[in-house]
Amino acid sequence: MPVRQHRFEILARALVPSLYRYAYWLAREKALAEDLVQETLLRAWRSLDQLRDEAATRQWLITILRREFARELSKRRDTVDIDGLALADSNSSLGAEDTDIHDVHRAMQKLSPEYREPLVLQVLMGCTTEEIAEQLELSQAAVLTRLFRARNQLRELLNGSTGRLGEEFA
Amino acid sequence: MNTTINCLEVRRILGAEPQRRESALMEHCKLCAACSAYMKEMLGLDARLSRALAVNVPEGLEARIVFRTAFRPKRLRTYPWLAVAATILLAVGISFGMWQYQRNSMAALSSALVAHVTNPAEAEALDPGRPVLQDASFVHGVLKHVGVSMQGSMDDITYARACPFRGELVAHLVVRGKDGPVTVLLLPHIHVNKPTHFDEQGYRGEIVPAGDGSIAILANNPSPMQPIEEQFVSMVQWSI
Repeated sequence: MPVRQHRFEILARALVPSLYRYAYWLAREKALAEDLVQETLLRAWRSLDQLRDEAATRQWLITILRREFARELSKRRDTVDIDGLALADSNSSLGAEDTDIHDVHRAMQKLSPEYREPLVLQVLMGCTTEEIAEQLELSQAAVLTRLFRARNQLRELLNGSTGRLGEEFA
Repeated sequence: MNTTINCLEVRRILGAEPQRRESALMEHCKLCAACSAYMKEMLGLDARLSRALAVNVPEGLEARIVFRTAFRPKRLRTYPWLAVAATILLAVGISFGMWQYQRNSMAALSSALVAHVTNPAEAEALDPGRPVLQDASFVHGVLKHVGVSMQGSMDDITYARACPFRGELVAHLVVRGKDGPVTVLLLPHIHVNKPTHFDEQGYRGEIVPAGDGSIAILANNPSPMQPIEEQFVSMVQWSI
């Protein structure tokens, strides 16, 4: 097997699961998430020789995926309400009959994208605040605020209460 | 509480980044039960979140992507300047090719014209002693036969014949020139873009565009051809 192909297989094996999950939470549609990952990885294949650092590669792939999603979204905007797809795949995407997972899943679906995306990047993709800020083109302070508010809203959705201190920050 | 940061700051930090473990933060949580509980809650929330975010990955997705790349050639890096250069080169090549083709075409045409005139079967046409044709209707008949008409008449035509040339009929005329016979071939089926001079096998000549056809004038003597050329160009009309 050519070295290049072998390198790509290692990359795909390492990153496809997290990229797909990120794409799913970005698009909230399984088929679209799959297309986004495929297109992103095919772009990575074309530029494989330029990819060196693993962390930079992940960041680069996230950037590509987000751009692909934005492109897809602009194509669909006139014909499909992407928000209408929000819960279409949610139940079928659950890994098990776990009611807690189901509850968190539904709560995440209810978060607005501006809070959901930084949280997904942090928890799922392991991005630092600095990396999230770079991806979303925000200041680090703005990212921290969004992360805080995202968790606060999740608490509210899951527990029915944010607590006094949470409200003060939100 | 005697710590370097207060509860509000602790919760602001942990609400955004539950994994943070600065010493000041940990020290505060050791002494503050509420913040310690908050930290545990945030860590618990993230654990639940991690499980919920880990949706099932479609079976075979990774294999499908790898499979596609295995049969997809690496895209060549594109160089815009190279594309421009290639386009210019191609345009120059095509122009040169067309120029060469036309040049070769004209050279072949002039050779064919000279070959026709010097053909022994046509030798009588250039006999300097031939008399001028008196019957204008004969000349017009010949011209009509090849699809040509002439407005007015030439007084010095000594020879007129419809000849096959390159698969078509052309009018082969000979005009008495100042220093000898001058051949005029009216070519209704051959179009040229611009006047072309040739000099071949002792014949000098000119092929000039005339409407949809062309007129070739050639001679192996120094007779001036320009006046004859101008006269024919102004008189000839193609009727095919």
